[in-house]
Amino acid sequence: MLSRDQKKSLQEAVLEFMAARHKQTFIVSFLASQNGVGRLVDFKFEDVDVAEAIAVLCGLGLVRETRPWGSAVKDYQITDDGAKWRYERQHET
Amino acid sequence: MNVNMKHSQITRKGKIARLPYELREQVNHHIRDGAPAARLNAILVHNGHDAVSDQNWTNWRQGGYQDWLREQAYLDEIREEYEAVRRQLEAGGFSVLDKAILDVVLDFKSSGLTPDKIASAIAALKTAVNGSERVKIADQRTKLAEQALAFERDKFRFKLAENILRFAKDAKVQEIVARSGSSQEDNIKAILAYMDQVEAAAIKP
Repeated sequence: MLSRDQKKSLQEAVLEFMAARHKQTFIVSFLASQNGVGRLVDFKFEDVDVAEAIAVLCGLGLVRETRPWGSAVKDYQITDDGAKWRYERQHET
Repeated sequence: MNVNMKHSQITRKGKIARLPYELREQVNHHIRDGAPAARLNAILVHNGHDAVSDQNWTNWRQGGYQDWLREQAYLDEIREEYEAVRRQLEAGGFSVLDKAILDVVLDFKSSGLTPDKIASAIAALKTAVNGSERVKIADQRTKLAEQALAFERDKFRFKLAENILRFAKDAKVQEIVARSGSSQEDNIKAILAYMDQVEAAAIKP
């Protein structure tokens, strides 16, 4: 089980990863892979941890759910606010 | 449900539990819609996996699928709670894009507070921070003004001492001071007039 700080790091890593690819949509297992946010954090996590991070980010309006027509699998994409968050982070220093 | 889903969840190792996350999502959705084992197996085969036995599906329905239902409820709850926090903040004129606010909001789940309480706590905190920053800026301005004033005073005193030394040695000033019968005010006026002459002469090329 992830600690409070790890959960927060994972949420930020998911947001960072998706914001850097704002035109793409992602499935949870890709985000959870080494090609996804796996390389952005230094602890182990599972698909379900990413699903939880996404639930938080969706609630905050930074990520949105996009379900392809006829599919039971959910895709996720950064919202304009999510992209703005990253832009502001990059320019705050 | 305030219990973290991971506490109540056993790591399952069955055939269905080992399927990729999205495929498990897909079959779970179909189970929820009442799909029979044959239909579920068809989904597995369509996605390049072997079909599993009816017993595997029965076990999954009683175990992994129940976990999934709890997980979905937990994720829905999280999403709704954060959405409620965001709405409350936006109603108060705040944005989750603010770094300080987002930092607090991301920690909110562990605080045990309700969405409206966390939103009002953040709003109060933000207002207090803004207020104390304004006070800090005003303090800094006052300090700078005091420093500028002290600097001007030092400059003035230095100039005065310099002029006293300079004019004390001046014959004309000594003559003015030595005049008998003149009031102090007349002497001051005479010295100031003399100073004007000296300064005017100094400016001339």
